[in-house]
Amino acid sequence: MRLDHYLGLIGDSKPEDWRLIPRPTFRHHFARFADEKGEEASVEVDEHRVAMSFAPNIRITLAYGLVSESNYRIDPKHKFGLLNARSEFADCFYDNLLVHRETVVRVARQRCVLPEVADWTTTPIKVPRRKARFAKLIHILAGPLSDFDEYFKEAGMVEVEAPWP
Amino acid sequence: MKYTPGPWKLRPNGDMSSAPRGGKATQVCSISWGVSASDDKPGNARLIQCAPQLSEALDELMMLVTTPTVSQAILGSPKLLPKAKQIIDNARLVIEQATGEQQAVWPRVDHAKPKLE
Repeated sequence: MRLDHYLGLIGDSKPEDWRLIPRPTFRHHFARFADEKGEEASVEVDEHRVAMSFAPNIRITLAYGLVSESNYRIDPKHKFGLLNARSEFADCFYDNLLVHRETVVRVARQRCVLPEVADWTTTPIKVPRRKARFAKLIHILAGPLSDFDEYFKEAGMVEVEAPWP
Repeated sequence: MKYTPGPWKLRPNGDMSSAPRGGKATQVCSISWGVSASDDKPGNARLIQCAPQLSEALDELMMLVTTPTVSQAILGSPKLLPKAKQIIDNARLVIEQATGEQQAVWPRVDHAKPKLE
């Protein structure tokens, strides 16, 4: 299976196609914590918040919720720039192999999952349709109970036909 | 208004630092317990360490009770409603104190704020 076909299946899927499996996900890893100098201070066991299996094809699974950057910076000029945000990994597996890692951002004090974009200052922020749909799927399945479309719009994002990833 | 992301960790010398993923730790504060020999110190330290997570968790719970389905279920239960209103209002006030942002009074959603449903 090609990666674009794989991601197309996920992007076009419906929330009801997925079965959520809470912790333990059995995909533990060691997270390094740095001190003020950036040197390793401790190592702790971490894991995704939730795993998901794709009912129409159980070779496809996702795991979401590992924190990438807990102090994710959005440009202060952006509407959400003065509120806390963190980036998180949504990992895509096929036959239990990691085939794609997507980073999403929980914005506005973690109140909504949005796609990560390289530049938060452009107007509008153009997001490839599949990438946006993927973030929406994660939001609906495992994100907060807020309205994705509302936040997507408030963030100044618009869907565009563009290749992803 | 921003805050230092959690988790926070208290060191034996009283320094409280963030322990973020993907970045350097930053000092949150330094705690001096003074001459108090109180048995509450470990409990207080744990509570302070968990402040960011407590705030985020409470915020998520408020989102849950603000959804139409849950709001209507609570509003439709005369037995539950008076107590639920008090609890939700308490939570709203705590979030206001923690964030400095005015929150909508339940069950109304303030559409000028980030949408909760």
